[in-house]
Amino acid sequence: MPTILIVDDSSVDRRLVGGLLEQDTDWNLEYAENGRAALARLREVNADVVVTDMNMPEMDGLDLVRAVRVHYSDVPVILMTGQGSEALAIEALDLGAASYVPKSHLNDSLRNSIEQVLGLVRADRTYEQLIDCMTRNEFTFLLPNDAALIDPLVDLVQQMVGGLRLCDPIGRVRVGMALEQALLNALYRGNLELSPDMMHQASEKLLSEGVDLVEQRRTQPKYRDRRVFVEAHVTKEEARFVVRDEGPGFDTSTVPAPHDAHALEREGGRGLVLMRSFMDEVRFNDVGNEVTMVKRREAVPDVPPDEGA
Amino acid sequence: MPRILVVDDSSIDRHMVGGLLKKQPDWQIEFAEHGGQALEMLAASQPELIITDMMMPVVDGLQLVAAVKKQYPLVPVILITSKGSEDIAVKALKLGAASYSPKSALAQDLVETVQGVLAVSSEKRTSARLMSCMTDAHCSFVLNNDANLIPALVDYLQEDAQRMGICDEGERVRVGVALDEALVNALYHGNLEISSELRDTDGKAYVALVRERTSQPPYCERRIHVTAKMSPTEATITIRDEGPGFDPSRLPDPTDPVNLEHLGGRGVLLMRTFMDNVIYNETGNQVTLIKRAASGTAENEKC
Repeated sequence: MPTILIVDDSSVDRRLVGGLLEQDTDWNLEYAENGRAALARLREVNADVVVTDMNMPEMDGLDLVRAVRVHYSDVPVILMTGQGSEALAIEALDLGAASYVPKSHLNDSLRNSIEQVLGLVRADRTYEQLIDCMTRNEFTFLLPNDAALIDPLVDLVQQMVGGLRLCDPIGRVRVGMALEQALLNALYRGNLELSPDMMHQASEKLLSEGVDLVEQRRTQPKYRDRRVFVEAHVTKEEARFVVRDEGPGFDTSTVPAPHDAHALEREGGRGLVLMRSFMDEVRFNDVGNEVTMVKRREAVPDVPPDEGA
Repeated sequence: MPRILVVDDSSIDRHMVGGLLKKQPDWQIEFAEHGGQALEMLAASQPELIITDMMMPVVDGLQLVAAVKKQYPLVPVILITSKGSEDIAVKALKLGAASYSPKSALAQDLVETVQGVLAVSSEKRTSARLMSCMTDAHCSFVLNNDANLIPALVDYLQEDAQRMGICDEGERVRVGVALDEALVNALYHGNLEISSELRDTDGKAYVALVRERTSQPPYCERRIHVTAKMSPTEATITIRDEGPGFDPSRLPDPTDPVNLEHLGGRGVLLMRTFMDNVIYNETGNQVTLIKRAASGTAENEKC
């Protein structure tokens, strides 16, 4: 139940505005007769929106906007502007008011304006419908060496890939796995320079000893300022990922060929095999500290992305 | 080591709740006697979780939930409910409390409830931390003429802008108002070619015409194209409709206070005031809104 604080020095106007807002709403209305009284009221009630007159004794609309901006920065203020208060109103809009309604249009516009502003305050929304309208999504991240950030990033990318219907749910999981491998590589092998064996133990958290070594390196000057750079471009045609670390790189000639069955056995080869199998293209730069992976659109039946995910 | 703040005006209840929680070796428990004291403590530093009684003097459980939701949206609140406080508890859950535990079943229920809520909220925190490492985002949308999509899109863009540190909680609403005005404009004036005068003079005719044109060519085939580019310093959002456009030089001068009285120019005035730059293309069917980060807010310093 939203609470609206109405601020006006004229009792007739307060009643008029209150009457307009009472009809067919479940809004809780509060009143104050000037800016100072409004601030006192704001301390007692959690107002969602303030609607204020401009010209008032004690503290006018402009000073109220200024004070609310400082003390209640998440409470939007709507101005009621009349003839003679226009200049003041323009200044208040510059200072932080969220909207305005001319007094001559209170009847037809005040409620709409309040509803608009209420709708724009933080809401827990789902973007399902919206994601269907998305045609392209790109972003870059600069990550510290914290493995806890990998899962949410992989989740985010899977949502993007699913939303743009680049591949079916299984394909989406495969893209996620390939990206996860690339990120683990960049973090443990690249930035922290851990051996494949140590990296495996650390990612599985099998040995507390292994985790300690990770913790040590994360705080040592040589390693701690290194970041993982991640760039993702997803359109309805393809997904392209670049993952770069700030480690010394590795000899890319040792990278197994795409269908090298022996790589499955080789130490540290698993990540590369997964990346190669799940993506259409996997390329390293010469130094070996950057990998580019591309996944092209799979023929997907044109049905909404699976609801189960 | 998770810090848990227990808020209760009865010292006996504080003692009992504290006793139950202290059995968990790595939980650190703090106490407040009412919501007001809790909010003072929160201002200094935020715990991982709050457990609160409903009926208290000064600031009660319901008010505490509302204030926490607004100021510390990542801190979950668990309610302790008792006979007589059920109605307020339901209200508090609607307002954003994460869970509740009945006073009569605290011994069996409380620890498990806290564990569950802590697990979910640590996931949310990690995700928020990830988002604070984002340095650049670029996305495009193509919308049909469905007004229901606008709030979700505005929210999505507000979220991105705030995440990047371009706007704070207060600026967020203003950025939202500007985007909402631009999108509504593209939909009704641009694609459906319906004037705002009609809305202000004859609401019924306006609604009827909107409904008619939503399924009538050429109007119904038109789309709204939205592109957003965000970095920690600037957000640029371009909105294009497929209508005939208009002559942007005829727009009312938003710096002229006289125009405040005319509803027609309201959208443009709000966009101009809330954004740093508003640019129309020559044909008037595309508007670019630019918002720069306020200097000194370096949200992205975290990474």
